Amino acid sequence: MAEIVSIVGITHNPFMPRLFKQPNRPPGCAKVLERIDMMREKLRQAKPDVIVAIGNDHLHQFFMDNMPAFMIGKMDAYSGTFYDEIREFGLPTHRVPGDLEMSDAIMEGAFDRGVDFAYSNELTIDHSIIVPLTFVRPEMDVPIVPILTNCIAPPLPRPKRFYEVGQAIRAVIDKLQTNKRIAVLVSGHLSLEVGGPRQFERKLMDPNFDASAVGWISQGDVNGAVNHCSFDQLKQSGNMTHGFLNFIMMMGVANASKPSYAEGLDAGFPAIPFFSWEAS
Amino acid sequence: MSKYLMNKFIHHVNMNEAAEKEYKSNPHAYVQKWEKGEKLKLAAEEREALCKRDYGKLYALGAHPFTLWSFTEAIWVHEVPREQLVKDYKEKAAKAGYPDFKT
Repeated sequence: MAEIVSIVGITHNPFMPRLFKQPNRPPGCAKVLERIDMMREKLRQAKPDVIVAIGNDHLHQFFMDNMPAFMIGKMDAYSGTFYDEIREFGLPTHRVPGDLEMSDAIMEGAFDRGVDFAYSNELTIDHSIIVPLTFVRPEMDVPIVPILTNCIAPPLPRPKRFYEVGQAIRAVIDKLQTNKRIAVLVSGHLSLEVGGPRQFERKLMDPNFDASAVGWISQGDVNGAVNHCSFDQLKQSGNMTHGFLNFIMMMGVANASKPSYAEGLDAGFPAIPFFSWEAS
Repeated sequence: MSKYLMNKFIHHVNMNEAAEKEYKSNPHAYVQKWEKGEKLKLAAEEREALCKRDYGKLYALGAHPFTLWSFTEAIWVHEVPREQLVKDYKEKAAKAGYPDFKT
């Protein structure tokens, strides 16, 4: 049977890889880098054969002409990122191996559990997959199964559905007839604003939300999370706070068990999330 | 449906280097040319805002904020220092509040 050997939840802040390379980086960066090193080490020790990488497309692969709620990549290698992200964030392009067989197995298993993923044989990954890999698996040598969500183009699937899809992914993986060691890497954010009146502020966007959100995850409080994360509730904490929904999916993957590490780091930026679970 | 088309234009210019260059060199001509190839039509104020590169107006009309900022930076930062552009964008967005960007 397959085993989930590690679950890591982390930021996909696309400005950070470039920021970390600057000689005069802001003082808070040291704390962020320390946490990233810790998460990278946790993932290394778990020795994954495949990484299920969950993130949300940012109107790159997805657009409102054809908007899936949840999509799984079905390719043997993935390229990223897109022209605008190279221009705006200075992100380099990458090519990451894919585990096509695992993509198929997760998709078909999910169908049997009532989750109808859209799929793509031509998926380009954006910063929601590239940046977390840059942080915790910079070698980009472990084959991935990308799972993308719609957290950005309303109407969004409901928070409860994010949890259920996470649970379904877990149930499918637990029953897979494979000896592969599977890690799940989830990216998202806590309170955040982009493209609104409060963007680019070097401080926490909504400290109360951040504390509540980390609390829901720490305690495995699914009701707390799903009852406070509707589209309208989340937008009160910043217009792009909906990226937190990926972490509700992560709670589903963890079957609402308590994480070994949970933090919304205040380092002079909007809160930077760090979550992890090891194999039980 | 025109709000969707306005977002489609912003998305198209943001993600394509050739479109970005052509739009920056002559916004009005490029908007007209692009719209001719589309089945849907822009509303008059959306067309005008795109022709004027008026990001404050586009924000108020419900352009998707994530893509709108990226687009705004791409088409203005060669003329206006980024810091000043961020400040002006935020001031204009603040006047509009949080318009509905659902399409």
